[in-house]
Amino acid sequence: MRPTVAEQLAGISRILSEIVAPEVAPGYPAEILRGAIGALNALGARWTDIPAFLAWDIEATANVLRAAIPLLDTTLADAVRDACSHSADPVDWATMEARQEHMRGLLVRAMPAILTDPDGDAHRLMTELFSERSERFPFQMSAQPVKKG
Amino acid sequence: MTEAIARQLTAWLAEELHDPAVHIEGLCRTSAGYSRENWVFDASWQTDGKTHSWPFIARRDPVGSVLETDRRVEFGTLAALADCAVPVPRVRWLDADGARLGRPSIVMDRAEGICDYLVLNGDRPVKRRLAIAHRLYDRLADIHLLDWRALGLDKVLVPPGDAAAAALDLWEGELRRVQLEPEPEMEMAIAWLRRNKPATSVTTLVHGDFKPGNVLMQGDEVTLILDWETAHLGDPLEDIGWVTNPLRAGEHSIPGIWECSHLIDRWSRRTGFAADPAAIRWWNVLANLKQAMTVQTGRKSFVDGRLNFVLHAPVRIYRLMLELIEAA
Repeated sequence: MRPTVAEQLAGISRILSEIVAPEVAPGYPAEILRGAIGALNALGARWTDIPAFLAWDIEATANVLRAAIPLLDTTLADAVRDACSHSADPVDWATMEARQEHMRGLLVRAMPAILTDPDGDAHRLMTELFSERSERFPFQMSAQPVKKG
Repeated sequence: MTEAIARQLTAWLAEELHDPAVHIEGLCRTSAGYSRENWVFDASWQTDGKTHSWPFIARRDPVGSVLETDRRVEFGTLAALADCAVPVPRVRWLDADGARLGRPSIVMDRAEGICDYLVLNGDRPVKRRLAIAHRLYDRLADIHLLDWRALGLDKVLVPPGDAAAAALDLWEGELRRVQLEPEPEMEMAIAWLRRNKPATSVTTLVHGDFKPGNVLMQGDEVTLILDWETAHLGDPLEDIGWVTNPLRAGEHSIPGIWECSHLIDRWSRRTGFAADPAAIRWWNVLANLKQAMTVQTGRKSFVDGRLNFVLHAPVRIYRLMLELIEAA
């Protein structure tokens, strides 16, 4: 399927850089365009990493939640068991994104209970998750704008 | 857009300066600053047959920002500080409800000077950089030493009572207002901050975003403290937590000779205020919560189609915040 997604993103970035940017007024509009091209380049470089990150994030969050079950009230424990019993097709991005959001929502609900046991497995797994997540996250907070000229 | 702003500004200044023939030139939006639109221009007008010209800057609320603040409060704060010991921009006119420029704005004098956010680690010899650091953070101490009641700042800003609780309530409220998705890392930090709140040491004016990038310099002198939009009454340790936040060490420190301990010692000697390390650590964590919140606000604005650059989850800030908590 050519041009591939990566080829399309790279091509659009080239069009903006080579055709549009030289014609844009200097100052704020040019600065914003450089930022937009930088964001497009970052997306082109990392978009293929997103499914693997989502799958890892869902599973690592599920591990924290499983360890937290003994600390949770019945309703929340049942919700966690139910969420952890499902799996999603890793190429179905929309479902994976929804599932990630659901699992992180459950972790927020479980947080008060997890924090009551700072020496417990759930707490340890949660801090490990947060630390590793910051390393695995596919994107920097803000993309580097492309250089002038 | 520039033509429309030029027309609106001309009409506004004609009224304020009592000259229907007022002339504006050189109007352009600068790329500096993420939170407000900054429009620089020169105006010329006549009074009693004499021609005047002056450089101005208009700060207008953008459609979408990384920070929600009130121009009325910023204007009132700067007006109250006009003749105090701390050098601040001279404010001229306020458009509180956007009747003049379409969105709330203020116009202030544009001052000469260089804004260099990495001035402490630039090309100057280290002795000069250390002297600049002393001048810079002495100005921060001077802000904390202002008699805010005598200046009438309590008519513009609200004394917080419990400053830590007020700050935490503010930023947690902001998270609830803008969050796009569950944020467990933020929730963990908020829970820790809630459990470990320090008592207010003293209530002072707090700048809220003090950094080398928010001052103007002429040569090695600090001539103006800029960007007062997050100024408030609170605990001065909030500013100390902000400038000693490890996330911004590259801007605030000179390795080996101007580290956090030097800054805190000098500030404490100049102000006479205590600098409890545990309280500063708490405010360090809050500083990262604030930094993370500007990103969350920006993400929301981008998704809503109101911000012109992409921001992603601030996972590195989350990590630093949690490392600070673990080390506490």
